[in-house]
Amino acid sequence: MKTREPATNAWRRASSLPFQKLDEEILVVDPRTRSVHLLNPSATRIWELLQTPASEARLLVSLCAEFDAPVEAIRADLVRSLGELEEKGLIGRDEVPRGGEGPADAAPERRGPA
Amino acid sequence: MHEPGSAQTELLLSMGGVVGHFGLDGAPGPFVAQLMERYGPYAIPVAPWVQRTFSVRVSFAAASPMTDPRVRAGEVAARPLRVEETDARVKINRWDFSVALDSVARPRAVEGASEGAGDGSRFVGGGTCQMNPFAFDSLLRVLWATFLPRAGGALFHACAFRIDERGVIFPGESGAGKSTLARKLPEPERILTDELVAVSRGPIGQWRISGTPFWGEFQRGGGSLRSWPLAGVAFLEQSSALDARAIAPAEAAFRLLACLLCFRADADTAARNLAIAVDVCKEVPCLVLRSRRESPIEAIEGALEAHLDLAPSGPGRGIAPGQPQPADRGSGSRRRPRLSTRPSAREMISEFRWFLKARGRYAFTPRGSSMKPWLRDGDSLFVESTDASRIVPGDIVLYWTPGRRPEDDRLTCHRMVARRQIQRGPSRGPRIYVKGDALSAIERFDDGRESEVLGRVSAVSRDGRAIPVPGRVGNLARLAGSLVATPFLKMVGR
Repeated sequence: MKTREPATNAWRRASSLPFQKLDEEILVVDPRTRSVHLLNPSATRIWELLQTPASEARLLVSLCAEFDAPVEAIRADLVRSLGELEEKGLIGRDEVPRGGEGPADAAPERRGPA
Repeated sequence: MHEPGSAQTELLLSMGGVVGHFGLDGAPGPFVAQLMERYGPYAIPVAPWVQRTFSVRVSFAAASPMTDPRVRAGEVAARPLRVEETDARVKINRWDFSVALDSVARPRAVEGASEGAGDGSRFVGGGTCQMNPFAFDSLLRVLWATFLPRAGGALFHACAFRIDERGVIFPGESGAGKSTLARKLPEPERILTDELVAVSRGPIGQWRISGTPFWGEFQRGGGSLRSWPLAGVAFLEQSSALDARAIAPAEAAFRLLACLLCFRADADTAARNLAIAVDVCKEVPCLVLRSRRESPIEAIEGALEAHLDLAPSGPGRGIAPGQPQPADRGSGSRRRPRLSTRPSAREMISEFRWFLKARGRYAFTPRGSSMKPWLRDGDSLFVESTDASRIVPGDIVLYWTPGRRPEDDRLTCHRMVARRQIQRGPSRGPRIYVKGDALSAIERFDDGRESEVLGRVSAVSRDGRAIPVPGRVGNLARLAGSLVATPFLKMVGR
């Protein structure tokens, strides 16, 4: 039987931000602030994982499955990246009811609206 | 009804493939002349059949005197620039101008709207503008920044020039050194702009760049609407040493977006701009160019050539009969490689007009047989710059007739038969009658409206000799000879 996480704050992308992936980096445009953000590969991967809202724990599980690095190092990188993305207004937090979180292994979005 | 001394005229401008038609109402002659002089290099004859992107009728109102800067600041703050845009409507409003255009599928039912859908415009509208060249220039910038992206292009804050037959843009924000770089070029005809460049897709999908009349510090610049294949994007940075390094498309697009001229801040516009910047940077080499203020242009071009493909890549072409070519290939002219892509006839003729005006004379190799037997196969013509007010019957004149599409434009060399001065109505101005010596029909055009007189033939180059065209008496004799074959009724009927 699948276990569910307790109610938590799920990270989600700020709505309607156009973006495009180029090689290993993603460009995100924020029309509200008329700013452009170039995400590094780590932030790019987190952005892709946030195609559906996900908790920090769910993101950590996904990243640990992908990267051969100590969990603590990945966690530190994740926390820093989430903080920076939130500071720039590219992501936010929603309170998600029990079981309302999307799958951690959702296919990442490859291309934003053109 | 127009006030005495006011003028109603029209202006048809083309930049980056976007053709905008302006009805200029209520502006006095000197103001219109000022606009014509500034935007003339990008103007095409206002023929009603030319396909237009938009058509707007602008009523000019006297600019209010600004005695108190605080009053002006208050007025500006109260009505900042606001651009509203949907698929069917574009509305632009600022303290000193206001226009609204509707898609011709839903014509704007307001008094003062421009000509109807019959002129081929996709958007039609009207509005007002203060009679101030700065205000009209700002309006043009906003219009092209709005309509160029709809056609898949954009205006970028960039200096741009060509190296041989390829163009390079140098985006940078204010102070990056765009104007300084442009001033380094010894050949002004290679500079497309020092402030805003139009980037658009050419007919075969290749990115092309063209100059604009929007130069730094409101200087007048640019000579024609000719576009060039985009060979690269070089972002300017000031440094203590000259250096160029390639950058990845993501970084380039990040930088380029910051230089894209856009007056809207919504998600759809942002997505469109992002797509344009990404496409440019994926398809064209991008680099960062660091240079000193004193770096010579030769060294800068050398640094660029190490990264950019500036050689022609496709099948080239020589100068074909009917194509303009310099009359003077003196020691100052550079050897040009063959073109990899052919510009439209409109662009070529516009460039020919520029060179003809700048140099005073130019050589032209005509095609066709309409001027036989006066003109023989293989003849070249020396053309001197002139306008419709200075030509007389008997002169062989060269005139530009735009087509519906840029590739349909043509340059014609026929003998002038007569002139009439139209006093009123939209055709007000000189009406020119012309005829090919070998043709029986006489054609007519309203100068500036249907065609534009560019020059008069002064000599013929034949078998290595330059034969001067005879003076007025000789020309009239030739004219009389060619008219013998013209039915009198046909002439009267014109």
